[in-house]
Amino acid sequence: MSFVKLINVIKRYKMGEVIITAVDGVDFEIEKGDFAVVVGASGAGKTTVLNLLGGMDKLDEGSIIVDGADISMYNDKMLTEYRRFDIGFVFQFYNLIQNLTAKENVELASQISKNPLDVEMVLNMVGLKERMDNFPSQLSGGEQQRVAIARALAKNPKILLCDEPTGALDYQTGKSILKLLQDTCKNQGMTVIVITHNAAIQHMADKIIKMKNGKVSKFMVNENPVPVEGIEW
Amino acid sequence: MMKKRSFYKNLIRSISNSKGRFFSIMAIVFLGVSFFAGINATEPDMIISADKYYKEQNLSDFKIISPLGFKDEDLTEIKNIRGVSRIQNGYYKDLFLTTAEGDIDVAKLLSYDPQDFKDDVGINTPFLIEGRLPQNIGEISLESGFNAPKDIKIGDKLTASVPSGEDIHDGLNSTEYTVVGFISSPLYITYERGQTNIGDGSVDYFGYIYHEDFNMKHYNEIYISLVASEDHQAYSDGYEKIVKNPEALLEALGIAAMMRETKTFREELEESRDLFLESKAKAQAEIDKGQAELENAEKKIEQGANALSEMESRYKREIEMGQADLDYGKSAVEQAKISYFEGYAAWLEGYNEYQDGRMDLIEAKSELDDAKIQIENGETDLENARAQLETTQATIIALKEIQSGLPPEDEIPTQEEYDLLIEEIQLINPQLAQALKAYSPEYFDRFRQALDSSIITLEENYAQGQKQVEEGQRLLDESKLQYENGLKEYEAGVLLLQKAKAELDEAKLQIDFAKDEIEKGEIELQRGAQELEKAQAELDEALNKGYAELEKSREDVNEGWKIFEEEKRDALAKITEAEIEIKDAQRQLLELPKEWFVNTRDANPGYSSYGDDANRIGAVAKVFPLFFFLVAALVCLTTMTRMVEEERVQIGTLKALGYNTSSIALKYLAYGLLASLAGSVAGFLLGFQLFPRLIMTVYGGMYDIPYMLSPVHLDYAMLSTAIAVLTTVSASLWASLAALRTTPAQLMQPKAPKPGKRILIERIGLLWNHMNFTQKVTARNIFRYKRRFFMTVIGISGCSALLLAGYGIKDSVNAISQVQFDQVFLYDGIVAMDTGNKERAELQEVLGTNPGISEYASAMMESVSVFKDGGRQFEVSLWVPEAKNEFANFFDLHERVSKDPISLGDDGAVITEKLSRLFGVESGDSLEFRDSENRVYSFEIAGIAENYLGHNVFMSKEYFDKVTLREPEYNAGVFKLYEDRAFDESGFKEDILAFEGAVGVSLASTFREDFNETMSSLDYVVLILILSAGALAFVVLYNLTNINITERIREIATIKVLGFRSREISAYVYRENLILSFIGTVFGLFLGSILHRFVMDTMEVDNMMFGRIISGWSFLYAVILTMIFSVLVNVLMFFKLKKVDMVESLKSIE
Repeated sequence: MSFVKLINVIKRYKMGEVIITAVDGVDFEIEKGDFAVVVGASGAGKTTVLNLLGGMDKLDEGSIIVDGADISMYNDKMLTEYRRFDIGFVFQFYNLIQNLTAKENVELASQISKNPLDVEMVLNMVGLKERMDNFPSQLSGGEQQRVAIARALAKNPKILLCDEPTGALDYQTGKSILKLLQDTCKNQGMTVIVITHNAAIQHMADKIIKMKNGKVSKFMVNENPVPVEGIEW
Repeated sequence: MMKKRSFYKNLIRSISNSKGRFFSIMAIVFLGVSFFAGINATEPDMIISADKYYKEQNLSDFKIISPLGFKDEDLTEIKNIRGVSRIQNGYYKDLFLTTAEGDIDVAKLLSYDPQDFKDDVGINTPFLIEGRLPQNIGEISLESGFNAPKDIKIGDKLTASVPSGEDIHDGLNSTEYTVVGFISSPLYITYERGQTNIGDGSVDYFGYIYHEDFNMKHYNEIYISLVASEDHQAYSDGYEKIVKNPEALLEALGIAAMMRETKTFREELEESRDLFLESKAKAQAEIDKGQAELENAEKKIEQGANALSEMESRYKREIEMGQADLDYGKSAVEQAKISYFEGYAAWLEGYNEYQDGRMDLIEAKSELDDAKIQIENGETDLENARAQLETTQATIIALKEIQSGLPPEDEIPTQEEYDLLIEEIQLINPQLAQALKAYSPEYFDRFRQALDSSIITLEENYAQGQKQVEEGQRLLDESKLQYENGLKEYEAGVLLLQKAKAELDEAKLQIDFAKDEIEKGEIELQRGAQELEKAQAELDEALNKGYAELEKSREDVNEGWKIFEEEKRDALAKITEAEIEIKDAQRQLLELPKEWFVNTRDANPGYSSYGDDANRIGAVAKVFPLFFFLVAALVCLTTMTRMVEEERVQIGTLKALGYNTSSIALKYLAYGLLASLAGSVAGFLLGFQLFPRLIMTVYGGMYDIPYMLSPVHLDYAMLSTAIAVLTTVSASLWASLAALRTTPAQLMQPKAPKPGKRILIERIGLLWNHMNFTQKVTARNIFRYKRRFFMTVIGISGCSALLLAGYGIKDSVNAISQVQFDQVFLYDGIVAMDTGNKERAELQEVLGTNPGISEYASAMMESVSVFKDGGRQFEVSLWVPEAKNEFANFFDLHERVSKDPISLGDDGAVITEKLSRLFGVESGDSLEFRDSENRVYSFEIAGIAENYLGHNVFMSKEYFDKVTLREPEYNAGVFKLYEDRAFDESGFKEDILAFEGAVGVSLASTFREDFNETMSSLDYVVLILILSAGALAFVVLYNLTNINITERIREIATIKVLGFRSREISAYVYRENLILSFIGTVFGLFLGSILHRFVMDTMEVDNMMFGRIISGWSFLYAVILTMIFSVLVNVLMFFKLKKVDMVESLKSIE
């Protein structure tokens, strides 16, 4: 059985009188250690998939099975525990706590985890050992995103979910972040799911899930992922 | 005007999209303004209401009372004073009114002349509540409410009576009055009705009767109105000013009038006093003279006695000296005797020795003689021995011849021969011959042998004899020497003996002489002793005579004293009599009225205490609403800043689209203006109605003022609105201008979040390293947003300060009733006796026989007015105990701080503390009091005692006498009840009042309950304070939390996504609130203590002294309630927190 499996996931939103089906019967599977990319245009439903996968929202139909557990059956409290222990989240705008230093931001996550990684080691891994005592406002965007990745990794999660991790970054920085994610996937055996509208990124993935109008328009297994250095956009 | 339309649209959308924000500004402004305007309006409203009442009823500007009544000339003179518009004369009388049910009260009856009130010009017009005013004789209109008899109604009849000994018709025409109406009067707006000289000393209620019911010679009170008083508001400075001149003139008139009225009587009194002073002086002089004479005689006797005893001691000393000489002689003779006997004994001893020596010499002589004879004998013996020796020698020689002539050896002699031999031998030595005869010649050998041996023996004997003779000769020679020596000694001894004999004889002569001398001395001593005895006898006689004479003169003087004492008693009686007369005259002089009692409105206790109360509220109003205003300003500031920040992008867009700065800023200004203006208008509209009415209602329990005016005060409305609007608008302006100064491009960029900063406590590694992240974030946040910090600390400290002040006020008031009734008033009740009643029962009967009463004491208790230099008067109970020490069991007079007991002395009165504070006097200063008979006395203060309720002056009866020249009339009994016995109040009162002359019983417990009831209005104050404090805390914390949540919604969403549990999230947000609340609370407790003191200082009423201590419980309540408010807000906010959508975290930064 696959590590992550979505079976006919449907999510509807009510906007006043109108019901919008944001995700309309999505099925896909991702194996442990995969680097998966969910790609699609704005409004294709990829963020909803991310929300559902990240335990931030509940689905209306279907089920999502993560490491053998059906999280679609979880209540709010169980979802909180799921986010707490199983998911590492990397935001588009980093979402660091401004009043905590880089190190403290990472510790914030490691503190609530069951078997966290060593904070300094993780910061070292993302290349921020020298700057760990700086506040977010003293760091560049790329550095902030590295802190965010460190924060997600320090929890030692089952899945690393990244929402447009390069969206707010320039080309070079974005690339270095993607490299970091890819290295993490390869070296740590971490399952990484990146959500992006940037189709160029799909070439570095093991699994590519293309979305359109709330449905998976194409599911591809990439036998020869390109290293980050090889892609351009 | 498209532009304008879209501006309005935008504005209205802004408002409707952020109703919460708009209303929160409105609400805080509303709260601040209504509190500020409402409380500030209370003072003027109270004064306006009272002033309306005073003007409607034409409250007099002066009320003057003449103790002797007013003459026509007085009235004319008063009318002539400049500024007087109208005078109205009247009568009054205090008497007892009995209801149909038999309740007796002391009432003050005032005259009502309908003529005076025609055309609405009457002064002190009674305010009609029900029925009508008296139109005829026998009609009465009573005061309503407050103190009037219970359940009385129109048509009821009241019977008037006066104390026994007086005639009711001596002043009034009717004795029965029918109630025709109920009124109140601007003269009596408080519960005080004044003091009187009947009953228990205080008036219970007042009423108006028809003026013709009075039949008095002169008017005894006059009401005066001033022209200018219509133009001035009561209590205003202008009013005070217009009263001053007429007051001085009236006082001067009064003094002159009284001088005129009392002149003759005064002179008479002075003359009679002087006469008695003279006779007193004469009597005193006589006493002094007699006393001086007797004392002189006594002095002489003393002198005689002294001379006598001096003489006695002198002669005694001489006799003693003689005796001493005698004793000395005696001892000398004794000494001589002793030495004589010693000499005699020595002589005797010498004599005996001499006799012994003589006997020894005689004995020695005889011994010497014996020795001489022996020597002589020895010489003879020696001669004999020598002769014998010679014989022996001859024998030996003979024998030896024989021997030599003997035959040879071996030959034996013949017999003859032999015989011959023997014969020869016979011749020489018969004995031997005898012996040899035994032998025969045959045995000649033997013979030979015998002869040899005999020769040997003889030779031996001879040698021996020779030796013996020699020895004897030697011994004899020795003895001879001895004898000669002894003889020499003897002769020397004889010589010595003779010498000793001569010495002894000499000594004997001396001894005999001494003996003669001693005998002579003894004779002399005897003679001296006899002389001494004689002298003593003579002295004793002389002394006895002297003392007898002295004793006699003493008796004479004593007799003189006795006579003098009798005379003195008479004289003293005369003096006492004179003194009584003098005192009487002086008392009458003292009691002579010296002036009119010119009372301005200030002298009316109701008028002045109402004014003071209004002032106090005014003072409080300056402080309390400050918190609200400060907080309101801060809240508006933060809210508007936040709003502008939230709409950054929009501002940027508008700016980019070409809108100019002012039109963009206008939106925020209009928003702020609308919110604050709406809040202000609603606030003052409600505030002007709510607070003055609420407070006046609370005071309504204490004051009888029928109007309650609460107009809109433009000044306060403008002021509060202006402050509120200005603060809000300038906050909006400041925030929007700050935003507008930046370029549109920057504006459209997400605003860089306020950077994190290191704070001081991070340096303290020990502390910081032990904190977790939420704690660290909290700590950094607290110091990061300073505006919020101050808003919260000010708001919360205001909240807890209000709470503490509220509870502190209660503490202070409760402290009064506790200390007053448990530590100062130790009595349980007072019974008033009618001293005018000649048949009244003794206090011993009334109280002593009551089974409920454990102890009691008698005292004089009078209500008097105390004042200083003609200033404000205060109604005071004057106490004069009959027995000072007993009284201390009922009133514990002590100094408040040191708790040192104060005793009543003879040279000053003890006053209660509040009274001393009101007048600003201390021990040694003096005050004046006016009693119910309108007599005025001045007294000195000797001590200031702790007391909280009412005012008391205590005097010892000695001091009272000194001040008034009167004996106090003991008209009250204070008593204590057995604590452990069941007490039936009404039965007890009935029992007491059944006694003749007992006119009233009041119980301390009733007093206490009444007081507590009056003070229960304070519960409203406390409640108002608690509610306002709660509102304050709510507004502040709600705003803070709201801002915290909206501003940090991303952060919260992020940590939600990170998997923080709800509890952790709320702790993340609330910890900041709680810490700030805590800091605010601590600060607020300091602030509250100051506030409490200020409130107590300004709120204190004249007849009470409040405690100043806040109990620990109140601190606790203040802290707990503040915390409850803050927790409540947090609970409310919890739901808002829960609703924060995690999707927010995915959004871009606005």
